[in-house]
Amino acid sequence: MENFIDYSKLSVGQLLCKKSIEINSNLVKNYLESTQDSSEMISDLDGNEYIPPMAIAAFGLQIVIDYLKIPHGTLHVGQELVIESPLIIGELIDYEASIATNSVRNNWRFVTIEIISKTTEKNIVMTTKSTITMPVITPDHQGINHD
Amino acid sequence: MTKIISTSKTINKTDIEKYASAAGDFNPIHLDESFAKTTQFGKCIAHGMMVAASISEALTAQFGINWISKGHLKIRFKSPVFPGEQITTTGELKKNSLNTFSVKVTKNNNQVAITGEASIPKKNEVKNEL
Repeated sequence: MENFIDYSKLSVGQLLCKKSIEINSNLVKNYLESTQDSSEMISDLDGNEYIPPMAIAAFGLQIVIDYLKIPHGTLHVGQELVIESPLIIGELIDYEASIATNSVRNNWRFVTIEIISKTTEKNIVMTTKSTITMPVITPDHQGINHD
Repeated sequence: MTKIISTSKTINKTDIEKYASAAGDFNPIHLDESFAKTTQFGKCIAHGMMVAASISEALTAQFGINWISKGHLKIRFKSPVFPGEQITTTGELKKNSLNTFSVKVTKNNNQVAITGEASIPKKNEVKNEL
C-alpha cells in the first residue's frame, strides 16, 4: 500500500516534482531513430544542433509519469506544447511539473499536468500540458493497478 | 503555403520497443501482449507521444527554426495506433488564418489517430526574438 497515490487529492496548482535532465546526443539519436524522424536537424550559426521539441516534451512527461506512479493502462488523451525557445543538444533542462486540472467523468479521472522546462539560466524553453485519463481507483481497489 | 507536406510511416513493434527505451516509458499497454489483452484495446498500442512525433517531424521539415523556436501545438489523441499500422500526417491552413494549421494523423484504415492545430510564427517574428 505504501506506493499508493490518491489521485483524488491532487489539487490544481500543486507542485509535483522538479528534475533536471541533460538531453545528450545519444538520447536524441535514440529518440529520432525510434520515431523514424527523417527531418533535417536544425542548427544554430555555430553548427550546434537543436533538440526536437517533441523530445523535450516526451522526456518531461516521463518524469511525471514516474513520479506519480501512474497506473499501467493509463491513457494519454491530449497534449499541448508552447515553445518559447529552442535548446541545443547537451544543455541541461530543468523541468517543473504541477497539476493544471483534476476531474472525474464517467468513472474516469482526467488529470492535466503542466510542465515548464527551463534552461539553467531560468529561461523558459517550453510549457506543455499533458492530459491523461485513468479509471477511478481507491486504496481498496489497488489490485487493479497492475503495478 | 496552405498545406503541410504529408508524411507516412509504418509503426512496428520494434519501433515501439525502441521508443519505450528512448523515452523511458515502459507502460505494459505498449509492450506486454498479455497485459494489453486485459485492456479496452485488446492488444498493444503505440505511445501517443511517439505518434505525435510525426506531427513535429512534419512541422520541422516544413517550417524549421520557426517551428522549433516559437511553435504552438495542441492535439487530441482520438484512437490508438497498433503495431503494423501505417500512419499519415497531414496539415492544412485554417480558414481565415495566416499561420494556424489544422493537423491530423490518419491510419491506413482511415481512422483518425490524432487531431489538433499548430501555429507557427512568421519568419520575422522569430528572427526578432532569437
